[in-house]
Amino acid sequence: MKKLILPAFLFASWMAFLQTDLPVKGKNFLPALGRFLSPFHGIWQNVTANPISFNIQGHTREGVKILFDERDVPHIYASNLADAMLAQGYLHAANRFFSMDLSSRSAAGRLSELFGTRTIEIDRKQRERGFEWSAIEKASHWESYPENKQIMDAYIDGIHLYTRSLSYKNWPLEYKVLSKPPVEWTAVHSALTLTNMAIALCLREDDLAYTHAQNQLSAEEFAFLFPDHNPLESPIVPRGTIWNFNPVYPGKGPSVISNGHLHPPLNDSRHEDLNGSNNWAVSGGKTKNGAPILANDPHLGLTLPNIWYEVEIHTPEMSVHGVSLPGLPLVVIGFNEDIAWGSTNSGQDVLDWYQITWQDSSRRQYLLGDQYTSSSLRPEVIQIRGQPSVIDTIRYTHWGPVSKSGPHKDMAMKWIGHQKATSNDVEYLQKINKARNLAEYRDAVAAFQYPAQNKVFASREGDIAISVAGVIPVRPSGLGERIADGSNPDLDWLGYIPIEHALHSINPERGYVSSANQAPAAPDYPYPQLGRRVFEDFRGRVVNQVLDSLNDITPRDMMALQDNSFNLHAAEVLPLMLDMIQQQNCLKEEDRPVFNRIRQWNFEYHRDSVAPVFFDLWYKNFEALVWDELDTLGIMYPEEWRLTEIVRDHADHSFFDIQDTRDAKETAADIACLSFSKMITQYHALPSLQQSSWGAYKQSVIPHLARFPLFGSDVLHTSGGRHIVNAMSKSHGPSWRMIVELSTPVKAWVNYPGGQSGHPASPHYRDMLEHYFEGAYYEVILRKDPASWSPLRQIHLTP
Amino acid sequence: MNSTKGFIIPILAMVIAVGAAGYFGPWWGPAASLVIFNVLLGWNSKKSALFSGLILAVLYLGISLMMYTRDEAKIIHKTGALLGGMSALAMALVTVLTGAISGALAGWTGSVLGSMIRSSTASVVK
Repeated sequence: MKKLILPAFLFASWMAFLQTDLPVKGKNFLPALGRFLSPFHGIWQNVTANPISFNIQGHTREGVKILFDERDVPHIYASNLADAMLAQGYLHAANRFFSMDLSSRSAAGRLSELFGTRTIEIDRKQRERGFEWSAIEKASHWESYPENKQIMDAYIDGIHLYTRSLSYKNWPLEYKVLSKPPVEWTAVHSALTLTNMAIALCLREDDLAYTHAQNQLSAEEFAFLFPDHNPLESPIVPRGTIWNFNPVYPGKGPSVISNGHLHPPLNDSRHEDLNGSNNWAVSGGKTKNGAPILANDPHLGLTLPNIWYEVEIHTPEMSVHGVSLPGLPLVVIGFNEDIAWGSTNSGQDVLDWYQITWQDSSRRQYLLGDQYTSSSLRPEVIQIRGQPSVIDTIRYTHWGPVSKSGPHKDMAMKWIGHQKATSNDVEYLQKINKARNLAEYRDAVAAFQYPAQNKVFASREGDIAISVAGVIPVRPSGLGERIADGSNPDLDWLGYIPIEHALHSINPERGYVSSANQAPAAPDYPYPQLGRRVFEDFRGRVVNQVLDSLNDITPRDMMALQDNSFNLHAAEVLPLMLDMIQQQNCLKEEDRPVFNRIRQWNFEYHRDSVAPVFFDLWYKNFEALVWDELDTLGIMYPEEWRLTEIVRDHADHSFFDIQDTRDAKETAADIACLSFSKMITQYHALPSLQQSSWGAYKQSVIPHLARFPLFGSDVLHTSGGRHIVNAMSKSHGPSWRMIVELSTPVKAWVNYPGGQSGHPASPHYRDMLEHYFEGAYYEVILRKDPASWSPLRQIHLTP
Repeated sequence: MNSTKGFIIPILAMVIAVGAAGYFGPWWGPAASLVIFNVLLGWNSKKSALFSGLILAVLYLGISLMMYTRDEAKIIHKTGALLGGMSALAMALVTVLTGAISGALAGWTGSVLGSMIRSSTASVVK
């Protein structure tokens, strides 16, 4: 017996060691090596993706054929919608399950279950904001619509069909690296997928920044720096539109009470890459063959795999092609046999913060009106990998969940995403996928809730339209721009803009509709809070200028417009800056070649051009020197169009005086000279490769979704940038490009940066990436008859 | 000739059993099957540890190399880099080493356990 102790002990210890995840450097983990390195089960089994044909029996009512084309886009042929949705759920899970899981965890505040202490602050913030709480409510709301519940149930059954077939051997690579099993998917996860998109698109945080700015600046200074509207803006619904209705709740409510005890916001998020988009539709009267053309490119943070999954679905009631959002059924942006539709982010302010007055330090009762009211408590258990769980209690008030820390400490968040649903997102998707004409498109749009979107439309019948879709609150005057007094119940939202007053444009005289995240309407729209302040000011103007100038339009013209790299911002501000350099006569002779190069530039942000590098560096320095006072006060910068106006019209304004030079009073021209000189120094300090061109300087990279190094793209040289129709910045930009000609049959040209598969070993993981940045498109025609074409592989779901 | 057969046949049987346990069973299946085989074989501890370690190491090496040749997307290289800067070769070496140690310890344990069982059975028979 004694002889056995040593080998048995060593053997058992070794196996236990191989079975255990190993903490590394305190924050990371090595997966349990036994199964991870097992050539039979572990990471070695993930080197091939095996896209093969196979049958699955016994899960559908009438059977489904899934045929895959050369880009691995599935074409689903089903006899009923529920079977088609089951197939779509299966495909989403089989290709993108880790993306789906990560997206829902990100919204719910459950990343630390996978990543340990590294993500605990992100999770804590998400829990404080109650996203999972509202997703649970949303999922139960879906259940109350029997037809949509049937669709969701079938979709989730499809996901389970895949995930429940998984053993460790065929877990997606990311799960093996993280040594955690795939989650059991529910409708709440699907609701969280939608919430995650809403977080990306409609969670603007400007109230605190504006309140801080208003507290620090005089009223005149604030009005000077932050006017409500850009006078040059080209709104979605054209100027001059007659509003033949009166707003509901006109002029109700008191002014918002300011608060003098606020912490400044931690950073100015307005200069980060914006989740924007472009879409437009031109009528047959402007196109070469008389058929309307619709184009859409939604801009999002880019990752591998891409956020979208392209799919074609055929059932007796519809044939539809486009991109779907893994985690949700149906097609989000696409076309069917009769119509095409697309979306851009409307960017409306649908989030308000209310300062809570607690009765005492227990933070249980808060003042509302003239009495204290109990907050409801929701315990949150944040499970942390390798550490004990953290238990937190979130307080919910009349307004919403209350933040416990950070700049929003003791403020309650009222957000559109938390409000009781008035419609059903799945119903919207179902309606728009099946829509045949303008009336059915408008009916679908009325069912859309959030995040507010500009829904563009074109039909084979010749109609074009755009609608600002989604519920948008009507507030007491002043609310929405400052932190509100949470003890004042009169500061609550008054209701929502009724659908009949919602902005839309149908078959306008100018022959096109368009949106690029600009203000949706001119200031005379009866709901003036809509479209005030922060919107994209340049892309929409370029799109409209180009569409105004074009006739006999072809799909190729639309491709060129999606790839348009003209920077209107540079075109407006750079001549002023160059003139000031010449007026000041401050140019050094050795810098003249750079100066001349910038002066001869055509404002195109082409990847091979070096002039955008000079402008980018110069403008950043210029802006920072102008707004040094605001930096000192922690105030956000005014928008770029406003700085251009101030340079043009107020070149001697005191804001141009540099704080650090007490003996001198600088003007805009002095700043131009100084920033030009700084730009030259910074340019020469760049690595030589980055000096060569805009593409080399920008160094675009598409990272892996979980930021696994090497699983993303290499450095890409791309054209485009901020304020440009081709909005490709470092890792952010057009996530899907689609152009649809509403001819008979309907034709489309599409592409996106990535590939269909989420498996890094698959040849379809990133097979469209390089083509995409070359400006290439793939032609798509609905393939209604499965026997009419030869798929590369097939999956049959038999009853 | 007989002794060669008496050596090769068990080795081949072990390879097949370990392969089957690995393919159809859990990750620890190969090691468990080696314990059982060595209980039955009656080899001494050194021989059991040596050949069990070799069998699992060679099997791991063979499959790893086969998968490596299919690894067009360089998944192993990328994963190795992700987990602390290991090359694909280093990943393969660690895999083989894991197999060798698991096999050797399984063989040693099985051999000692087998001899214990046999001696206790013999004393009962006496």
